[in-house]
Amino acid sequence: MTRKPVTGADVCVVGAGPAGTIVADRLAASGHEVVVLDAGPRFDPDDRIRRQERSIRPSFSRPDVWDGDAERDAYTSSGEKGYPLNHARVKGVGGSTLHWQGMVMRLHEDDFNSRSARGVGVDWPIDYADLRPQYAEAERELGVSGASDNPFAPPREEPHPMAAFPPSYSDSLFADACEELEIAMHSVPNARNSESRNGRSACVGYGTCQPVCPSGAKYDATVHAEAAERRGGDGHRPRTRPAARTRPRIGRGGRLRDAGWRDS
Amino acid sequence: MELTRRDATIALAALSSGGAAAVGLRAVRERDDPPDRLDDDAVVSAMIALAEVLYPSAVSGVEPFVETFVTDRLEREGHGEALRATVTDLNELAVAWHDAAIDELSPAAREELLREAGADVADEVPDGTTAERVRYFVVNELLMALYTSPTGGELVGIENPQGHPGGTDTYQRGPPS
Repeated sequence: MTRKPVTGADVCVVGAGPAGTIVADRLAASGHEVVVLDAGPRFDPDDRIRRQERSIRPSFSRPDVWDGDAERDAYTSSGEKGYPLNHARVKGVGGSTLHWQGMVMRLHEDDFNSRSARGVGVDWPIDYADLRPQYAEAERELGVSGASDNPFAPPREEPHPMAAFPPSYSDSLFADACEELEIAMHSVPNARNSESRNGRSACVGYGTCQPVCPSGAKYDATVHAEAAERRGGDGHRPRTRPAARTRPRIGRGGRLRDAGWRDS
Repeated sequence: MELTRRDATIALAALSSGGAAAVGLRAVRERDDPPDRLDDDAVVSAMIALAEVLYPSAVSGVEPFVETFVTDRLEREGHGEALRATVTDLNELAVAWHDAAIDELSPAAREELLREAGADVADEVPDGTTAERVRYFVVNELLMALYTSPTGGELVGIENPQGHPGGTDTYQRGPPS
């Protein structure tokens, strides 16, 4: 990766997770020069099989799988409850999607109007209907396998981009029990390929989605980091840069003046 | 339940790069090993002898399985040298305490050796004490090889053990009746 300062970039994206890389990809597609900063490294896809061994062996903790560094990733918790932040996040290109499970449920309609519907929280200024087209677009970007068998899910206009995974043997055991107890049972949409799609493998059943998918069937944001790179012609090549801390500086009028980094 | 070289190849494919390439050909041995290290043939023999007491008695075919697996792991950068050093250390304990190399000990003595070394109670730590390294590079190494292979998974009723890319259809099968 290029690690020299960039002048004249149109856009600087801070954080190479799904939001940042999808934005970078879209901007690069429309001809903008994009710089992406991230606090962690760019991982070699060929190392995933070794990371998987770390995920299986007991001597490695969850942060070890993706080279977490307690000093670099130091954080504080305020209040009485601690939060194991470094077990929940991955720093590097791809971000926490590198170790997520990939469950991508749309919010319920009531989630947008929680105060009115449930008496807690706030009503948002947008409704499910406002986001519905974006949900469908995001599901296409990530590649989501799902079925329309959830009686509680909000309405959707079209099926998921890929068919759902068939129920597992253990699902069938739960299905019998749930039926007897009259509990509705349904699948959950998953950002994991049930078939080969856009150059990415179908799931081969490694069984280690969390914390690492060696086959690439599970979506992670490296998909869009790479897509953004491919968009780059000579003059519009997105670049990523590892940095320990990004320091956006806000100038007068609330405009971002520049963003620096400190090498880790 | 018989382990095969294919099981080892599949376990290797899950755990390292280049598993398939190692099948059928014993790689050329490095001859410039430090003189105090066991050579690779001796490491493989020791690991086979130890697997014979570590693996459940229902498992057969241990020798070709472990030979294929360990030969490949010895080639792995960093890991191979640490594995070699750990088996050498354990072998020195075998000679000191039982007057014989690991692969010359009776099965009962091999099991006793692992316990005397503390590997039965130690946690695995790749750069730890001898007991912790034996746990990492010998005991858990061999157990991981077994239980990421299809035959090892079947042994404990898991059709698709973690780390083995057995395909999603395996999840749909129940245990053999």
